[in-house]
Amino acid sequence: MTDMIKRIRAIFLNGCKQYKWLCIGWAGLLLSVLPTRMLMFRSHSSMNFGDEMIAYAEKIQNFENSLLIVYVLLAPVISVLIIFSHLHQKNRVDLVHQLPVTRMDLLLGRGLIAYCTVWVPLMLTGIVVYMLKGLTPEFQSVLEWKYLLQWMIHGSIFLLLHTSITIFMGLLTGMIPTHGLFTVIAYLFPLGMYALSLVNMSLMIQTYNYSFNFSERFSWWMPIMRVSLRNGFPYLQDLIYLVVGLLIFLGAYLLYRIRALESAGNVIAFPKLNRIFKYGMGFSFMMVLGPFFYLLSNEIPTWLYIGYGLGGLFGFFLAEVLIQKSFHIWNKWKSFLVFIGLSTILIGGMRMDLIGIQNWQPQAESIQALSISSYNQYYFNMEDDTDPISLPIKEKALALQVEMIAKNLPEGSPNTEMIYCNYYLNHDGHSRRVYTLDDGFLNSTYREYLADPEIITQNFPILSMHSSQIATLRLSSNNLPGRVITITSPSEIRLLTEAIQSDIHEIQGGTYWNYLPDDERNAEFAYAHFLDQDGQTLLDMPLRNQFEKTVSQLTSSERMDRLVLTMDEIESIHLLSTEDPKTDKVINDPETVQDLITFINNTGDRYWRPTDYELVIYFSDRSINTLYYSIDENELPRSLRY
Amino acid sequence: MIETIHLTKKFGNLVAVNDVSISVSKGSIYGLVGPNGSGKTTLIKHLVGIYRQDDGDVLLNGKPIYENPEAKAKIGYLSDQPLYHLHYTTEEMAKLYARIYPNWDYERYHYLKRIFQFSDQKKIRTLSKGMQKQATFWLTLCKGVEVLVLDEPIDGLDPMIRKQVRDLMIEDVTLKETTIIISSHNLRELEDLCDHIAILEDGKLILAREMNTLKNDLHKIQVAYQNMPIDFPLQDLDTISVKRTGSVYTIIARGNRREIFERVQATHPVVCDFIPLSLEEIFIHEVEGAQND
Repeated sequence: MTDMIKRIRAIFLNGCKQYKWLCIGWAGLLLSVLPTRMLMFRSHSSMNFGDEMIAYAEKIQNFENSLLIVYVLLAPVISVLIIFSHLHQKNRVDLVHQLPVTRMDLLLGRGLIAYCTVWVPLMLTGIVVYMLKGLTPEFQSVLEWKYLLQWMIHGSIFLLLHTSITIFMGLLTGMIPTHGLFTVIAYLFPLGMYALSLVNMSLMIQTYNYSFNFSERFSWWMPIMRVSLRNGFPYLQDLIYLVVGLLIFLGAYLLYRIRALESAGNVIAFPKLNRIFKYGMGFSFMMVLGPFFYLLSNEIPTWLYIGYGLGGLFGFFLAEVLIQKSFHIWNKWKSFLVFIGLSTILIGGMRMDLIGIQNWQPQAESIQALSISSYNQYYFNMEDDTDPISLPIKEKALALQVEMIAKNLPEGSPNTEMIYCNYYLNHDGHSRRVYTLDDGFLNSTYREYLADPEIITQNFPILSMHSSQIATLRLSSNNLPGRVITITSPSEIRLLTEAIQSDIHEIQGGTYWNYLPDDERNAEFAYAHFLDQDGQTLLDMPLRNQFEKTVSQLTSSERMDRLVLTMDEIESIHLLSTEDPKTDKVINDPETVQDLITFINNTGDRYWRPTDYELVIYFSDRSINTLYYSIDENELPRSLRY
Repeated sequence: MIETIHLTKKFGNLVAVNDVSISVSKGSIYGLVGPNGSGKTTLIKHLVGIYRQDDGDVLLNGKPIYENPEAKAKIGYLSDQPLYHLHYTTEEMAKLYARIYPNWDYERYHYLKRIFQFSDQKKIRTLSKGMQKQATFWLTLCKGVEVLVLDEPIDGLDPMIRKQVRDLMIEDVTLKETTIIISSHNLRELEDLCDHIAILEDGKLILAREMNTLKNDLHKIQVAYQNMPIDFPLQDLDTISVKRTGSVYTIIARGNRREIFERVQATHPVVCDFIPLSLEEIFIHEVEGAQND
């Protein structure tokens, strides 16, 4: 043991001498940016940087600072690439391995050096940042010593994990470029492959819809992403990642033991893995080039499969060229045929939906949130205080989905609408299917579902909200960009809340949010933001022209005129033709202006779309941004039509 | 004693070393010769513990060398490629080796400093190729090892230094009973130094003998007859090569010198001369013989 420690010490001391510049470089990079920026804040003491300073310090503290993220992810890769480059160069591999040391000595000694070159600068930066706190009172609340300690522990664990992963990949590979490449792939590959699989499944399986979500489940793969999660990063996780890091290091040692040193210079150090590499490359290129060709060809399905074929061919033979370091690789055609066979089975199986993805439904118990809507809801707000969905609602949704499966039509069929069926499942799972349904089904079965009182309550959280919960109601106008009205009077908030609740019931609210014909969907004049005592958002919802009681309430409180377009607000209106600029004009006639205002107020805001004309409306109140409004000739007042 | 027992090493489909068994006794100088690609360097990399064998054993004093720091600490390796950190000075390399080799000999280091007349403060990469080789040799001799494995040790050295290097090797063998294994293409040099020789061809060991035995066993004879016989008259000799120039036969044959002489005399030649064989000639004839087989 003593001899071993002596040998490791010798390797370590030699490494310190050899790679000190690396450590100095990293320290220079971190220290010249993070603490220096804090000092810069302080040097501008005449300006009020208080909030920015605290936000900056908090970003450092939570590993949200982009330099820190890049450092923690990439610095270990670069350090290990340099320090373990001896494994990938034939002369240096001999130099190091002729010494009277074991592989364990070398791995520990060099691994320790690699770790220290990135760990020392990070710790040094933490200490300097902490010391700077004394200079500025604003930082006192952020940079407490216990946070510093926590930060140092997190940082140490992240660096250990990334160093171990990079060393592991270094022992799998035989060249410096493939070492770097494979390490980056190890970081991003699972997420990338998951996302690519979803894209390809969406293209191949009808009704399956891409639903990648970088959820908590995936953040486990990149622990640095977990620090900013709402649950924080408890010490137990540090312990878990410490164990994982050490296990990966142990795995690296086992690889080192069986690794043949003469593999230096090969793409992969273990010839038995070459097949996995070839098939993996072929498969990855298939997954990328398939959708790429599909999109490039304006979504012609045949091109998806042409892309698969070309991608597989290219990836497979590129891997073969790299392995053999020669372009004479066509003798591997038999192996390629096996690959093609396997790929065909996989793609064919997926296309025919052999495992039943298309009609899959979750168990009602496993659903945490759901949405069946023409609106593709990507995000479920799953805060801890979210009300659970009742079992009957889940069962109704699942029953509706069964009917949608039965009535599903090919995409693009006439008189159809896409309805997205989204489930947020236990353990961060997501399920999204999209069905193409005709108007008959939508107007009967789907409307019936939406009109169900339980579903309405589910879809409109305002219905279960009491005005006493609301401290502030903020209304932002849709057609007056930048115009916001803040209401804090409890009585006015109560009256408005009750008016909205009543309106939702009266217009058979289910139809309002989830299914309306295209031309009615944007008839919204404002957005209501309900805030609690702490200024936190309770609910955001649009207000529609059809909300008669709400409009009446806003009119009586003289708020409505501030939310919609009025003659008084407008400075001028320009009508621009999208086809003939010579016909552009300024509209001066008060009657025509009033007609346009009425039309816009009734129609609500609209997203940009290709139209015959565009209205540009300038406001006398400079705090309101210019409004650009797409409009067709048949929508213009008669006096403006040609 | 350092030895390989049925050592086999494959690189993919290529058998670089094929069932090679050699045994080098303490204090001897063992020459490894063979054409390019015959497996000499691969064999050497096994002897110094760099490569792990696919089959067989590589032992120093009966213990495996691979992954055995105690055994490796007794072996010094001088490669045909630079085995040092080029950005280090010779002195810095000495410090590194001093930490790793338990028997590192600083006294010898300073003694050799006077022989190798260049500064040990210069970075190795700034030295000429010959000086770099000297630096490696200098450092290798100070490791306090029992076995020196030298791959092309005198390649690129000027004649003066070459002589000094040879003297130092002999001094090590004489005073410390160091075992030396040398691989070289300079057979003239090996002939003077080695007491044993092994010839490798295509990864196989085709010959391993004591130098004297080898020389006594192989003979070059020039034979001339007054009346040239139609057929070669010495068919029963163990000949490796027979060449006829006019009325003179030049024969390379294996066997006892006296017996060969008696058989030749029995054919009544007018001339029968035994000419000393150089190692180079032995090497060429043996390799040709192996290739013909």
